[in-house]
Amino acid sequence: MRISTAQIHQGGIDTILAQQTRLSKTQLQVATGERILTPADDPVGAVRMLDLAREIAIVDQYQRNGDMARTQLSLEDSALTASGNVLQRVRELALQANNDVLSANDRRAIAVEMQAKLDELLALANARDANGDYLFAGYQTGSQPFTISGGAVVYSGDQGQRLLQVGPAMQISVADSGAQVFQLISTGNGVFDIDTNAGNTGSAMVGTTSVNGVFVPDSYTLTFSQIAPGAAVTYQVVGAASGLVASGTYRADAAIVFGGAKITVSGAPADGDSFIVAPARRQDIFSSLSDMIATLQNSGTDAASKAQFHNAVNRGLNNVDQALDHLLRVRGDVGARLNNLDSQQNINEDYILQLEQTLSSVKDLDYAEAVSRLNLQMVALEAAQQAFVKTQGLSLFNFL
Amino acid sequence: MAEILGIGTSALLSLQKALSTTGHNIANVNTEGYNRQRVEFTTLPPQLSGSGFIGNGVQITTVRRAYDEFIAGQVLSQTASQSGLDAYVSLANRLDNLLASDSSGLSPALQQFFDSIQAVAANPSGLPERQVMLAEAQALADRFAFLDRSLVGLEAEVNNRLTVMVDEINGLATNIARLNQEITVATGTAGGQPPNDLLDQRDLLLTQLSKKIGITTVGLADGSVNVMIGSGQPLVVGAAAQPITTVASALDPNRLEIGIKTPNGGTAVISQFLSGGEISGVMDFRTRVLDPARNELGRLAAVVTDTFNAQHRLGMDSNGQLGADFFTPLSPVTVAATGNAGTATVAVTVTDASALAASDYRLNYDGSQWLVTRIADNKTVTGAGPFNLDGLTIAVSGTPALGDSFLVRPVHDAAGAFAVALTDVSRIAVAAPVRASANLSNTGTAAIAEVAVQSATGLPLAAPITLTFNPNALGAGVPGFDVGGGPGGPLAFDPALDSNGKTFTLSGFGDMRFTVRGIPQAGDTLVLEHNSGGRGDNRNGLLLAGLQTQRLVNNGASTFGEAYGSLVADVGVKTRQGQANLNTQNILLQQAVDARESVSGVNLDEEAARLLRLQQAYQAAARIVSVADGLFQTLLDATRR
Repeated sequence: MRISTAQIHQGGIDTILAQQTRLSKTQLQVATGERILTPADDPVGAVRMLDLAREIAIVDQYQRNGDMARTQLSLEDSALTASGNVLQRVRELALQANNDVLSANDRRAIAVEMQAKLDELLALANARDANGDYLFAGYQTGSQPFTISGGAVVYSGDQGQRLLQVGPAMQISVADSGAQVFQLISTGNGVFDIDTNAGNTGSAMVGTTSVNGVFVPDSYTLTFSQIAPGAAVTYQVVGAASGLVASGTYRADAAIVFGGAKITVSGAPADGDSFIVAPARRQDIFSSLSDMIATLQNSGTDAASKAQFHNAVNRGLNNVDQALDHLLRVRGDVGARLNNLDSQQNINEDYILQLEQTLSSVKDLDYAEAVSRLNLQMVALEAAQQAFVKTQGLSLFNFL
Repeated sequence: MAEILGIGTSALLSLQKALSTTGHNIANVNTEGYNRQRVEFTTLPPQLSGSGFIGNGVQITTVRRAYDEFIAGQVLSQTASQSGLDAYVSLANRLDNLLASDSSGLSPALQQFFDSIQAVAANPSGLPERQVMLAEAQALADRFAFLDRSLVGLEAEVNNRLTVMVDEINGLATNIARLNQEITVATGTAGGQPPNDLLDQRDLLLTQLSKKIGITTVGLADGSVNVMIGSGQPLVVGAAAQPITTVASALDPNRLEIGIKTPNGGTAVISQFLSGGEISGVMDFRTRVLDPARNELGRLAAVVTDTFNAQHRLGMDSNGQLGADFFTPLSPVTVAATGNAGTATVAVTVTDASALAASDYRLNYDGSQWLVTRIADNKTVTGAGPFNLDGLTIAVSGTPALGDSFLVRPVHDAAGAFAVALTDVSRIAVAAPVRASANLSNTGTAAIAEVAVQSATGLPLAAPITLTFNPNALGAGVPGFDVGGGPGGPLAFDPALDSNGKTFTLSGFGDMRFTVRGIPQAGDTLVLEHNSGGRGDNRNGLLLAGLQTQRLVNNGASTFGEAYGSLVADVGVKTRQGQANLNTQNILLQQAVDARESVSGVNLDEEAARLLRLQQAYQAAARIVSVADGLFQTLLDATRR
């Protein structure tokens, strides 16, 4: 084929320019360490990069939420631990006060300490987090959840539970409401509760209580009767709905069984003495403590008063035990959430690692390949330049 | 003897012209558009003698361009395609770089906005977090605005380039028309000899013209060429140029089209017929890359606005009020064509942002009904309206006239109009408007969970809604909840069957959905009430943050981030395609140019050789004259005696 002089010249220049373009792109890749300089280089890869970077950012945010959740849960856990310790001390004080050798004054002294414990518990229930928000107020984190009104502790929070997103499909609860922690505590043995009639004149005291099969919810009245002094004491149990369910001759510490409940009574009941066995209610921990304090402040010395006192303290102790169990359950729940959080955070971390590896494989340059390509392109450019100079020197006019 | 002298003289004269032509070739080795020229030698008519025809010497019949009409046509059409793609790719490259960059793309702003919502959800009462969320929302709006401005800037650039190119094309057409005339005159004057250098000039102008716009040429017998554009619209006819012009689109005054004067004095739009050349590369970029990108970006802005607002309105702010619009609500744009004769008006409302398509719509009235065309894919619907399509309601009112048309742009301007409506941090609706609780004196374990409001109707709740368990709520032995506080009607709930959870919906009261779990006892009460003072509640915040991972765009096809990713991919793919086509086209153009150069280009070595040959021939011809002189002298010497 015939070639024109301009063509030879232009062809040489075009080759050099093309080589320079390729070289410049490789150089930019090596300088930035990135394989994809604009989406047009690899549209699929570029979008994959965007997707992966977004996914990493989202999971990173889950991790930050998780750290936040851990802080909140740890705060709650320490408040719960402290509350448990307070209740343990209350329990010790109650046991101590329940001893007959103590005088009314001693008991009043104990009542003073118990009041201090009640205040301490109240302070714990009104604990705040680093932002000044109340921990146990449900959604009402701006106002103090537990206040004293008319001598009783009133809960003004709600039952909301705050969740945080810690994984793609996992929200974790970072707070329990004060109602959940301090208020919804069963009385008695958790199933039923025994109330001593305030007018009892005998020395009958409630002993052990247990559930026998399935407790049939009803309000039962256990009444003792004695036809004449010295005669045998009999009892009968009448349910408000179920009518007469049990009766018999009273023997101290013998089990009285009815409606799924099994109780023992000791001491000498007087004629007409009665106890009321009702399904357990929910009671807040503060009323249980206040009741106990009131009991400690007014202890009598006669047999009937003693029996009343011990029955009240025992009942209070039952409530404290329930509260301790309850706190333990909440703490167990918090611990379980922390465990869940740990495993979710581990999963997140692994996921981020995987995503980053994938991102790196999409985004990052293979340096070995790129550098050898760079060398090759430099050699090619040099060759093109030399060839250009050499061929440009050739002309027939040189020989004319 | 005289014959020999004549022959020598004819050779000398012819060779002088040939040497001039070779010199002309060498002199024009760097002249753009120059085609090498050749003299054509022929013998002079011979003289008849008794012994036959005696040669009479040489003459030059013509000086001809080395020119191949077919190859020249190839170069024209390949030039048009190459410059079209070149213009397309250079514009697409700019958009491509803009969208994916960390500093200018949307992804980082979108991510930071949702991160800031998560931070608010983690600490709903924190003012700093709320401030940051508003700031990030503003940053997102700024980013949308920046991208939209960049796209609008590219549209303006397309318009500018069209205006400049139309001027250039008209200038070139005028020059071609003038050359046509000069060539016709010169050809006539020279008795049919070709005016080679004028022809070269005209060919060069045609090449320059084909860079701007795809053309077809028809050569005429008098030496002039007619130039046609598009589907045969004349640009140059003989010695007359017919100028083209830019006209504003009837449906969008901000959009220039190419028009041509019609015989009746009007202007007809011919943009759709043009192919090849920078002008169509630029318009291709506009219709194939820029318009879809702008609509796609606008749709994303529209869906973010609408879905975020919808969720935000279902929340409750720090003041206990229901959430207001977080972003400025959408306002779809409708444009009436400039020539509409009727009184019809069009109103557009967005009914379902998730179903929005990234397209404009054209409404044409054919005298009896409307034809609605989705411009992105030319899908059509006919009828009287209102039209419900793609999450839109397009309602037409008034009396239209035949040929009236409207342009409906639901999302075209949404990215530019994207703005944060909320200014007060306390108005961010992070809480849910309803909270549930179980009465503290309940003896059962029933509790309400998973309360979700689905509309703002009946909210905030005027009075608490109470659910009181009654073993005989629905007749003897059929247990359920007696409902107080508004909704009325007992809700069936059998503790024996439903203790693992039964879901209810209270329509008219926020269309509230909730689940009751556990075993209630008779008289147990569950309460749903206005969440007053719920500053620690982050439920709506979590739902707002959760929008990020929901597939809300394009009928549930993609998340916000993915939708932006597909925009980047779309532009990337189109740019890459353009680049690949340009590479191929460069080779095709190179081949055509090589073929032309092969025929028409000047090769200096060849000319040098020719110079030598002609020089030798000239020396030989001079020798003939000298020999003729010698013969004459011999004869004189012989007769001197």
